[in-house]
Amino acid sequence: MTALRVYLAAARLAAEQLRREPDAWMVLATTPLQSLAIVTILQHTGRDDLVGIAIVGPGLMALVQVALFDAAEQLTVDRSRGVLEPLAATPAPLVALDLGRSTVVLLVALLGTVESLAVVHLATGGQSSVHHPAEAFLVLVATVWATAGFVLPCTALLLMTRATRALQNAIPWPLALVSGVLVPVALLPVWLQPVSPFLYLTHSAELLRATTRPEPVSDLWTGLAVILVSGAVALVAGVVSRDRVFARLRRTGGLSLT
Amino acid sequence: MDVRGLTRTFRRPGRPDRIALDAVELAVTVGTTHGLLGPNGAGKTTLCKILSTVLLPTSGEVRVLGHDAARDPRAVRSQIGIAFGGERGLYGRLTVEQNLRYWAALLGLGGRQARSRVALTMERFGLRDRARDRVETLSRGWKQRVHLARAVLGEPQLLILDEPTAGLDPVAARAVRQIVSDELAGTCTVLLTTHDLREAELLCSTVTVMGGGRVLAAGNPAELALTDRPTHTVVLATPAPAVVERLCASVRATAVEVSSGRTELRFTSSTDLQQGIAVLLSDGVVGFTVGEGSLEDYYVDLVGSRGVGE
Ligand SMILES: Nc1ncnc2c1ncn2[C@@H]1O[C@H](COP(=O)(O)OP(=O)(O)OP(=O)(O)O)[C@@H](O)[C@H]1O
Ligand SMILES: [Mg+2]
Repeated sequence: MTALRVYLAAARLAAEQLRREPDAWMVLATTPLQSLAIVTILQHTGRDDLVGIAIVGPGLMALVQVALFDAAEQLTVDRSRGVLEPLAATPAPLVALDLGRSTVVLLVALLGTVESLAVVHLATGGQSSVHHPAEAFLVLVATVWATAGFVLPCTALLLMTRATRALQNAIPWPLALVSGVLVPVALLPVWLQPVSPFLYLTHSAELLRATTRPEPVSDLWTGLAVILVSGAVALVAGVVSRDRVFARLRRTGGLSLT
Repeated sequence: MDVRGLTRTFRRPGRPDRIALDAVELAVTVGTTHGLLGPNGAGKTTLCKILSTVLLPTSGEVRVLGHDAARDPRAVRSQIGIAFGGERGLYGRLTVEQNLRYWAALLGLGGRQARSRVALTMERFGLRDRARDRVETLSRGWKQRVHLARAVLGEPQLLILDEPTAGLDPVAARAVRQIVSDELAGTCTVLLTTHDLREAELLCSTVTVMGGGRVLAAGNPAELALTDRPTHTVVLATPAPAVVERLCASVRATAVEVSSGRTELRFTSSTDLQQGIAVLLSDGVVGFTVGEGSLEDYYVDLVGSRGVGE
């Protein structure tokens, strides 16, 4: 009950902040442009078969980037405003706080995928679209869940290292690359390919691309299960790592330092 | 609240650890207001943080409302309210009401209960007209009210206020003191840190004077003043070391060089004062002013004599 209240309060705070500081909206400007760039290259090189990448790649990338960006940003604000200590002194489960924020910013970032779809649809003269909208919706929901979970251990890391800016920028790109969000896994170096199946984003990207093709989406439920379980594992890892980092900061006194 | 042998050190790379608290003992009776006095760096904030569970003791025992603050922080957290004050601790771009609503949720209040609690608290602290103002647009005095309001939202049994009047003008400071004495005192136990002795005298039934991480004195303000503090002072206009030496040999008085060339004589009774003045006059020293001793002098003496302070 308390966790739900905290979750909702964080979501409300994020929504209020988004109204006043529309940083998270930036991706809505960049995501469709990236899609446009990719689809243009694909068309000129005659690889229309890869057009699914243009539709889902930038949007997935945006999800990870926005969630991490916001978590890091909020951490920076909380640190500089001296809110971390009062937060730590409340009985609230702080992971619920992070999840509440993430949900709101991820929902905003999700609009980027809609834009991408529209842009690619126009650029290809109406030839490409989502053939399995219900499946795509399910995959996106699962991906939002897993991304919110994935950000939790990252937040713990940001909290501990204080290298907030560096990590916030360093994490999304390798993740997106290895999971074949922007380049198909099959085109990655061979030694890198075995890593891909362990990343939820690999499954999200594959399934979403499959929904842009006319044939039925294969392995939908397995893929969804992997994504959902990854999210749950990340959540647990997030709770544990957050607790540890806070315990450590209580010991060192680092909670008050900016 | 019961603190025994509390020590807290901070690591400093390549140098010996800094001792922020050194074997501190503190006991506060439930329902009273206790003052924590001391100069910058005395360890007041460190103690507040340990009591509010955001910092661990290096050694010693800290019990807050019957719970061990180090081992059972959750139990403590649900019963305390803190205001670390100043510009920190609130979201500037949100309104007063939004800030309070957010913290209410963190304290586990929801829905109608949260709304009515926030409304009631704003009313109590005179914040109703400011409810829709962004916190960043408020003056420090008003921000401090928001801090206090936030601290009491959860109806805590222990309230920890770290320098609630620091940086406020006299009028705002008085308003805050009034809130503490009228609204808060009696409803819960209050621990309040301050540099301001008068404030401590006004608000606190007991005080602990700290310096350099140690407890220098503890008791009720009046008591502390009665036993040790000078009742009268005489400030000499020009230095007269020989006379001062003779005076201190025959009368119970202490001489303190308050600034270069300015000597202050402190007496603990009016009889001593009379004898002292007689000595001065008989030696032809007439340039001096007589004043009342204050807790301030006592405090400076206490801190100074132990060789602490920064
Ligand atoms: N996180 C920290 N790391 C290292 N040293 C610290 C830390 N926090 C406090 N200290 C040191 O501990 C000592 C006590 O500081 P503290 O802030 O408790 O004093 P204070 O009595 O609150 O002073 P003030 O009146 O300035 O607020 C100081 O010497 C300070 O430098
Ligand atoms: Mg302090």
